[in-house]
Amino acid sequence: MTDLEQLWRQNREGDTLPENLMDEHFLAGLPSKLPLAKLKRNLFKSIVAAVFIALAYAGVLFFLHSWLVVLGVGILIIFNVWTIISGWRLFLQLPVSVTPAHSLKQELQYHVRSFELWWSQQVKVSLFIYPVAAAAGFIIGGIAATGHQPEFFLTRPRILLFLLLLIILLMPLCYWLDRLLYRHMYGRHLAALRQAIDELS
Amino acid sequence: MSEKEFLSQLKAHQHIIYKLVHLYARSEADKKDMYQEIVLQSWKTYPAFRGDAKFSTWLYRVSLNTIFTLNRKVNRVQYGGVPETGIPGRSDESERLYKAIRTLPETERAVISLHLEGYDNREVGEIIGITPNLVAVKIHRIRQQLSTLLKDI
Repeated sequence: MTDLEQLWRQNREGDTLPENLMDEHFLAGLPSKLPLAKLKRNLFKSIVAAVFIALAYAGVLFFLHSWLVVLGVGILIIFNVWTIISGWRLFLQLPVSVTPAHSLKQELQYHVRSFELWWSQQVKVSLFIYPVAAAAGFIIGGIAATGHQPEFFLTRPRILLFLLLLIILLMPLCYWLDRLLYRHMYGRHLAALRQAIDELS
Repeated sequence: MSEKEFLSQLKAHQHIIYKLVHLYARSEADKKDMYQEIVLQSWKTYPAFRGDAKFSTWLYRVSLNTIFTLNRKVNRVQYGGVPETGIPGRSDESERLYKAIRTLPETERAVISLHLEGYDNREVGEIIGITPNLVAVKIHRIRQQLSTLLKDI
């Protein structure tokens, strides 16, 4: 055994972990701080929120008489159901813990892939759901503020043009804001994961 | 393995977690998070431990995979942070070795710690995910670096 090995192995009997970590009850209630675990918890919360929103839209349908609004709300419900289904499929794919069967490099690649999966889902949401929801909010706001029927708005070319412009502007804006948030929250972490993968390649 | 057996095994091998945390943590908050997360991940995944490998090897895998996938809110490109306080019970020379290892890139810290723990190149390669030849090359280079660093520190 060389000097380095001897130094490395020195005094290991003095090394102890905090005592409370050896308590199974304490461990059972401990939330994971792994970024992917947090992402998964947040994804679950947004799925639950999307379910409530879809139910609320479905409830609104009973009180609407205008076929145009029924059509608009119907489209929103379809989009929401699509978000819920794809979100749930992603939720099932995201890991809940690290995988000891993986090598370090495999584990890092697995985490990066999981983040990319989540991001591709988020891109779809920011491109299709947010602008459509904002447009619907625009119409509903107009109805509430003026007391006019939806037909009033949807038969005015200027309002329709404004609505179209709003959607066209909101799509890249929502995407850009989402990307900004994503980079702010996970950019540095992902860069570190990728750097470690590069070092091992 | 029962929960009781797992906790007793973990207690017997806690020096592994302790050493790795001291190689990677850059602050007291980091240390606390790492201890907690490694023990939590071990506890979550031990039901799948079938005893094919030694418990220590399994714990090394869990610990390294957890440390590298935990967001530590620091830029990992800047190497070389050292703990503010020494490690109780460890000699000055041993402390110097830890300081020297901490100046290495993070993946190299993993390689050298496994090597110094007594794993052969094939085992290190399996745990890290690189070929035994690359492990040998890295270890040769790291040992040279450490010798130089230990003279300087």
